Amino acid sequence: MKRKLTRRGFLKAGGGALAGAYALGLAGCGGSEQGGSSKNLEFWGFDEGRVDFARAAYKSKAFKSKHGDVKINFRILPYEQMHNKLLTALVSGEGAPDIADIEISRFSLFIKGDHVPLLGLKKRMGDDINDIYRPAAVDPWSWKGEIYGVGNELNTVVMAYRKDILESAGVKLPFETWDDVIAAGKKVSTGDRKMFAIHDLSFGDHYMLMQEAGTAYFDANGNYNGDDPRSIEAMQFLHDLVYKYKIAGIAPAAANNTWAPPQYMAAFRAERFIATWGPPWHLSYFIDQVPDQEGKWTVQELPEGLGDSRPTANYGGTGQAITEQSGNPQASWDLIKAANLTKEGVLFDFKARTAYPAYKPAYDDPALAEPSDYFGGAKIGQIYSDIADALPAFRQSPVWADTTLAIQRDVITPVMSDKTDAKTALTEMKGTVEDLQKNQ
Amino acid sequence: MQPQLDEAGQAGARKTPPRGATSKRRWGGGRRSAVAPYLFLLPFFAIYCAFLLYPTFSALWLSFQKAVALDTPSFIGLDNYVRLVQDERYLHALRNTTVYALASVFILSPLALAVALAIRSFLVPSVNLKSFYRISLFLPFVTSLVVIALMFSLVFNKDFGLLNSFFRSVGLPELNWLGSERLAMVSIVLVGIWTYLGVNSLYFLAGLQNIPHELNEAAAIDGANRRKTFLYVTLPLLRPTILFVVIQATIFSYQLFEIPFLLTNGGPSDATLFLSPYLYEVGFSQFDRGYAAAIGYSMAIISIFLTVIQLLLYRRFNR
Repeated sequence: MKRKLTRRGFLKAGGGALAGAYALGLAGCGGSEQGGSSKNLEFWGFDEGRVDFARAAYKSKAFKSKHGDVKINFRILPYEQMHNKLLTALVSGEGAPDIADIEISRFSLFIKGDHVPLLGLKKRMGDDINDIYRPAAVDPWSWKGEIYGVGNELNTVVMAYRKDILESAGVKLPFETWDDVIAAGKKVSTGDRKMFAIHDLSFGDHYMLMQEAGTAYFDANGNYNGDDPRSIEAMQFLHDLVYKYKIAGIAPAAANNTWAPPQYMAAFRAERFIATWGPPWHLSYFIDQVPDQEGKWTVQELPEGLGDSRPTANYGGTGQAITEQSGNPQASWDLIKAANLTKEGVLFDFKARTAYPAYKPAYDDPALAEPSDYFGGAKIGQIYSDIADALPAFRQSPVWADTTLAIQRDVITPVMSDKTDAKTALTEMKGTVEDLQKNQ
Repeated sequence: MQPQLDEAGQAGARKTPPRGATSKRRWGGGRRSAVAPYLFLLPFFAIYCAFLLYPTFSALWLSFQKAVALDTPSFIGLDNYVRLVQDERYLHALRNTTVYALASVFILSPLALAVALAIRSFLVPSVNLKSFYRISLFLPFVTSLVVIALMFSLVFNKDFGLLNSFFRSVGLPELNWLGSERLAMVSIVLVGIWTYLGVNSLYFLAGLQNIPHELNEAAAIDGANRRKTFLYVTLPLLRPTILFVVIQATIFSYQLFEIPFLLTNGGPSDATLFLSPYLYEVGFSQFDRGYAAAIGYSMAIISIFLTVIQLLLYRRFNR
C-alpha cells in the first residue's frame, strides 16, 4: 500500500536525514588518529607505475611480516590535483593520507614557512643512510638537516646518441669533450636533422649542464646561485648549440608537457634529432616510444669541457613521505623502507619501469648488470653506478619551484629565442628570486 | 447553475477559514506554522551559506592576511592589494586579459553580428538550413573548454598541426602559433572567436527577430536601401542586444581560464598570462593564499565595475 507523505512526515524525515548527515560528517571528520596504530592506511600517488611500486612493497614479505593486519588504500590522482589536495588537506589539518608520493619539484611547497607537515625520517632511517646515493634518494626531500622523503630512483644524467649514424659519419666514439660533440654535430646536422633538441620551455637542460659545470640554482645557504659564471657558461653553451654551432634545434613542446610530449618523441622517431642527455626516466621514453631504433643507440657519461666537468648530474625523482596526520607512522615507514631500502622493493621498479635504484646493495643483482638491448649492449647499470658517486648535492629551497618557473619564463625562453643573453637574464633573475624569498 | 458563494457572499472568492483554525488543523500549532516555510528553505540557505557566503567572506578576510603555505595567517591590512599594483606579472596579466577583452569586443562581436545577419538574410533562404546553422553555431559553446583546448593544441602544433600543414600545402611559411610571443595571443583570440562566435550570433539573431518587419517595410517604402535600413533602423533597435553581448564578452574575458591554461600555460614568457591562471599559479604553485585571494577580489571588482556600467548603459538606452 502506498503511504502518503505528509508535510509532518517530510519534515521528520528531513530532520532525521540532516541529523544523520551531521553525525556521519562528524564521524568522517574524525580522520586518522595522531601517531596511533591505525590498521587502515591511505596512500596517494599520481603515477600508476609508482603506485604499483608501492603496492608491491605492501605485498612484500618485509612489510607483511610486520603488519599483516594493516590494509592500505592506494589512490591515484592527477599530478596537479594530488599535490594541491595534499597541501590543502595538510593546511586544513584534516583529510591527508598517511603516505604520499611527492614529486621533486613540488617538495619546496611543503617547506615554506616554519612548520613542515611531514614526519622526519632521519632517525627511522638509521644506518640505512649509508646504503643509498643521498643526492638522488633523500637530498631533494630534505630540509634543515631533516629527511622528509625517500626516493628509489638514481637519476644520474648521461648522454645518449645514435651510434649508427655517428659512426657512419666517421665520428670517433665515445666523446671525450664537448668540442668533439660539436665537431660531430657539424658533420651530421643538416637542414632537416640536428644533433640535439634543446628545450625552450623547460629549465631541465640548463639545470643538468650547470650541475656538470659544478653549480646549482641555490648555494648551501639557500641563496640564489644561478648567476654563478658556471651557470652562465652552461646557458650560453645551450644557446650556442642552436645559434652559433647550429647543431641543435628547439625541442617540440606542448603547454601540458614541456619536456617530452608526443611531438618530441615523434621528432626522434623521424630522426630529426639523434642525441640527447638525461636521466634513466628520460631514456625510458625512447625505449617505449621509439622502439624501431633498438640497438642503434648507446650511452656514455657527460663529456668534459663545461666548468668543473663533472661526469653526471641529477635530474628528477619522486619521494615517498609520511604526513603528520598519519594514523600509523611505524607501518607507513615500514612501507617506505620495504619499497626503497630493500633489494626486492627497488628491483621491482627496475623491472617494471627501468628505474635504476638509488639503493646501493641492489647493484649486486645480476639483473642490473645485464647489457641493454636498446642501447647497443651497453651495461647501463654499471655506467650509472660508476658515476653515481659524482652526483652533485641537491640544494633545496622553499622557493625552488617558484624559481625554476621564473627561470623558465625569464631566462630559458628568452635566451633560447635569441632575445637576450645568458649573463643578463641569469643576473637579473637574482632580484626576482629575492622577491620570491621576501614574499614567502 | 448558480455560482457557489462564500461566507462573504462573493462568487468565486477563495474560502478562507479563520487563521487559527486552519493552522491548528493542518499543522497542529501556530508557532510551527510560522517555522515551517523557513524549514523548507533551510537546505537551500544552508548550502548557500556553506558553499557561497562563507567562502566569499572567508576569502575577503584572507585577502587581508599573509597566508603562505602552512604558516598561521597574520593580518597585514591592505598589503596584498598594494602588492597587486607593484606586481609586474599581475599588471602584465591584467594587460593581456584586457587585450583579449578588447579583441572580444571589437573582433568577435562584429563578426557575430555579421553571422547573425547572414543567417537571417536572404543568404540562407531555407528555414531548415537556418535551423542547421543555429545548432552548429551553438555546438562550440556547449563543447567542454578542455576538449576545445586539446583540439586546438593539435591544430596549432608547429610541427604536425593542421594549420601549418595547410600553410605548407599552399606554399606559405609555417608559423609557431603557440611558441611565439607575438602569435600566442593571436592563437588564443582565434580559439575564443571559434568558441563564442556562435552563441553571440544567436544573441544577435534573437535581437534581430524582435525587430518588427513593419519597420523595415516602412523604411523600404520611404526609399531606404538595405544599407540605410541597416544603419538607421536595424542597428539602433539592436542597441540593447549589442550592449548585452559586449558586456557579456568583456566579463567572460576577465574570467577566462581553461583556454590559456591548457593551450599555452601562460607562455611563452608570460605572453598569454591571464588573470585567472595567474591566480591559480599564486594560489596553488606558490601557495600564497592571501595574495591569491586579493587577486580574486581584484577580478571580482573588475567584474562588478563592468556590470554596473552595463546596468547604467541599459537604463540610458531603455529610456
